[in-house]
Amino acid sequence: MGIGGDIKQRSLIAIFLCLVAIGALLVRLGQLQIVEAGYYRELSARNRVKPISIPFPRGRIMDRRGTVIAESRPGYALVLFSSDDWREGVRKAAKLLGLDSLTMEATVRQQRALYPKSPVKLVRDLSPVQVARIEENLAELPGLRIEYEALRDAPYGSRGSHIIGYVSEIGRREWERLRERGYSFGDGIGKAGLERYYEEILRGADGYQFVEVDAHGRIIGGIPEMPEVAPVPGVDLCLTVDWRLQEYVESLFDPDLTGAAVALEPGTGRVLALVSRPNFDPNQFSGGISLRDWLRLSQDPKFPLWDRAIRSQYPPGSTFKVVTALAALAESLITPQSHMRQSCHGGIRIGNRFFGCWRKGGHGSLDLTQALVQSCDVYFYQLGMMLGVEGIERWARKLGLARATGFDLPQEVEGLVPSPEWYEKRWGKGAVTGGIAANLAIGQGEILVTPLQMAALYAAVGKRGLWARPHLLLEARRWDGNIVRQEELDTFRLPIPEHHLEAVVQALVGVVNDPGGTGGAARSAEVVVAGKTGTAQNPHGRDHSWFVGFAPAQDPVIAVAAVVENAGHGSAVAAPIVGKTIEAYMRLMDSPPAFSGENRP
Amino acid sequence: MRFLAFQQIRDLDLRLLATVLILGIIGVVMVYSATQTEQPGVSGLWQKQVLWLILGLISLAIFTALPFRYLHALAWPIYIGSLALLILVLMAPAAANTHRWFVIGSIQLQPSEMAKIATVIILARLLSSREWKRRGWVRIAAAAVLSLLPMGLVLVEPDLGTSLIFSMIFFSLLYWNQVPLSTLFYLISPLASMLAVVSMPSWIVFMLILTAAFRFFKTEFKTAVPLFIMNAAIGSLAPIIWHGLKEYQRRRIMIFVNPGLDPKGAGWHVLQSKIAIGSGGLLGRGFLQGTQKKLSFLPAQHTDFIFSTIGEEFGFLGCLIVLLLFAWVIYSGFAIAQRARNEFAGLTAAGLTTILLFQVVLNIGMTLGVLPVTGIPLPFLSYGGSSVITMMSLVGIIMGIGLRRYEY
Repeated sequence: MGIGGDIKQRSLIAIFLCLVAIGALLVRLGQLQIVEAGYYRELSARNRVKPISIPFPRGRIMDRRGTVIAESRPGYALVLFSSDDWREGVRKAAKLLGLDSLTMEATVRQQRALYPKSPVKLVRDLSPVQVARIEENLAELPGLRIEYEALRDAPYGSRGSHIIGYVSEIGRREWERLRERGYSFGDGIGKAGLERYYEEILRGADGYQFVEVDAHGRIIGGIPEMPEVAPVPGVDLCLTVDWRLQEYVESLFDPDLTGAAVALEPGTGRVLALVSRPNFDPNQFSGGISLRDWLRLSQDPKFPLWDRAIRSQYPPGSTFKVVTALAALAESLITPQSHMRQSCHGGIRIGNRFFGCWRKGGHGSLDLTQALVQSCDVYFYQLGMMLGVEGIERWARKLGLARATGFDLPQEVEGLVPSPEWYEKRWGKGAVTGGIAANLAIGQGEILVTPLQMAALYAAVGKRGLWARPHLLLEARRWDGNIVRQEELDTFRLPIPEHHLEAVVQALVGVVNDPGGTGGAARSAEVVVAGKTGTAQNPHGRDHSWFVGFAPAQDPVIAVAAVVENAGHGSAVAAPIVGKTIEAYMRLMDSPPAFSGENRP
Repeated sequence: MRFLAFQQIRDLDLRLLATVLILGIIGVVMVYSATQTEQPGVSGLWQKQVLWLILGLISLAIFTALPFRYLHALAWPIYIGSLALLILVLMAPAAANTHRWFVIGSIQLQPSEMAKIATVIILARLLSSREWKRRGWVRIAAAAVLSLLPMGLVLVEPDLGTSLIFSMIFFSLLYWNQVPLSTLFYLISPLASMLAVVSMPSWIVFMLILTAAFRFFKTEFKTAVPLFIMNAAIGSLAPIIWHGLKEYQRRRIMIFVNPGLDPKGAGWHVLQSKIAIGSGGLLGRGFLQGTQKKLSFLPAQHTDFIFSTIGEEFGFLGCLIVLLLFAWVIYSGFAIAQRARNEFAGLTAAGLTTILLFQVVLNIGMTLGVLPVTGIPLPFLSYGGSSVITMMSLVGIIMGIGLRRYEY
């Protein structure tokens, strides 16, 4: 009957457990409401314990030699934290600061509508004079107080802005998503660059202090029985970047140039400098960016917030011929001494279309080495048709294109190396013709790469096949010196025999150093530079100018890729930037203190 | 077919009905009080609570009238339907960052409420089935799977508190189903070793208790050894999993166990709740007079923390009365379970009463700062349609079982 079986014993146990549970609740109630009632009545009457946060300093960002390129500086904000009759106080404060009280009231109303109980930051980054004025009159400003906050400071302004990124106030949506991780409304959060990528370790943890406030929200004092929770400072980032080189590369870009340059260390992938132009000043964001400034930045047709080094995709132009050459060598279609069936007379007919060479007069009959040195398009059209779209795609992928490199900046793009299926999907069956392969072989058409991908690729060729994942972080150190994260070298070997790579490197030396080479503008008297020019066709305007190179050719210590938008032929604008960057770096290496991760303060 | 004969009315547990009704009315009154604050937009909620109470009483009547053999027959469709709702709610857009509710206009439906009842019914059916009785541990494994499914779905919403209820349903039904105490102990032991592993001494003590239990229950060697190994393995795995968690995930679990670690979030709520209840003293500050409540220091003071407002305004005496009313509801539930006509009915009534018991203890324990902050509503008192209607239906099922105790 009932539950079944002999349930007497079980019922007794259950009744006992219920009595224990309810009895325990009663005992606790008695403790709170009878024994300690006086204490809690007191707390409730004096009222009003409120937690206020002690802001934490965000971690610093330093280059490999310890130069600080982003840090926190103290700032003072005017904060409203009482909920009743705030209007009068806000009006008085606005008058004291010489600011418009209507905007401030609107700020309060907007935030209060959403979060009736959160404090409102009325004005941020107050000047010392403004702070003094408020502090003097605090007694007449109920519910208002000055709060310390850590603001972000980039001492070098817009230089390196795409490495650093910026910090700005957390958005509403973001806050709702992240509040569980300890973000308060109005906190700063990394929105771009390293500030965003390493947000989790750069930011520290909020501390809290419990204070008593009166009915008007004025602080009466601390509460001894509730100790404060100390803030945890954020972790410092030490970068692979050499700031001296970074500043120099920045200076090589004229203010009106648009483009990007990446310099990295072959074999390790340590990025030495990364420039994207136009750039922006991260300091604009630190005290809260004004709407006008934000519109100017976000609606600039040149997109200064866009990191061109990792997020812009360009056709590689002739710099891609290295891939085509390596693919053909690895497939044993040719040797470095092979000539093509048709010599160059300024162009070639494929199907019923004429494909021109950049030199209208023609190059004559060339071997692979000379075809690379003189960048002969006709030679590579024919090589492309031998490889086919599929062959080019397969080898481009093997050489690390068409995928993100795994760089430690947010939103890196993959680029695109089209496959035969890709064309068929877009243009239908039978779309894949020899002409498409020919065009891809010289880096034109639908193929897209980022400057970072090209720098990594040429670094790998220069290292005779050792590809290394580019990265910016050398190590992350806590305030007490403990290292919480260290760079992880991530390399793989290109599936290409070393003698093929050697042949291509020799051709790249010729590009820069032979009298007939296209990259003479990157030549250096001090070091043997190897590299390749490129001109990316741009349907929207003048062609983009490419140069990718490395030095010393024998065993490179630096590889650089540069793109300058709308600058025409690669030899004119991009090549000198790469050449000068390499020379400057060689000189920096000679001058003590040599680069290393050790000699930081 | 007759659902309810007039002469049966005398068998109705009218005292249970009256107790639940009183609790529901106290709920409306307290929701009214808790929402009279400067916080905009909630002051009219008590009217909606009246509506929920009426709808709740209607569903109570329906479930009382419905013979429980229909619940037995429909156990599977009900169970699968509520699982489907739990899956659907995970795919629905998030509300307040979680997937606990369907939001339809201004109404929020919480499918996990219904899933609790469905799980009790399906487990009661399984455990009372004669064919399954012969299958030994397979039967227990099947019951475990049936409880783990809704539990897992609720856990990822995420709603840790409610998912705990499902494990308690499982253990309590096994308990009432006369599963040997040794088996129950061994089923709980992996969970216990996971908790015991917080420190080396506590883990060693737990393993010693486990060994002692083998002797006490005279467990066979071939059963004891795998059990011991399993507990040892969990004990050594738990720290590895713990360190594999992200910092903020670990923090969340630690805050769950000890809200004091998060002085601005959960710990803040608990402190304010303690101040409210403690300042109520013996007789309370009087209806509508609570300052903690008035200044909105209490979190969720008309929903999960409604007991804090009761404590502040009606003091120890008020809390005692509410606790006694709950104790009576729970006592009646278990009494009906014992007198039930068959095993299915008895298990259902016992399981449903267990839900009530645990919700009351977890919720009040939370407001008193002795149990984790789980977000479990207080039955009949907390504001909310899903909660009120579910709890009333639950009482309706129990009363229906009590009503048909002489029916053959």
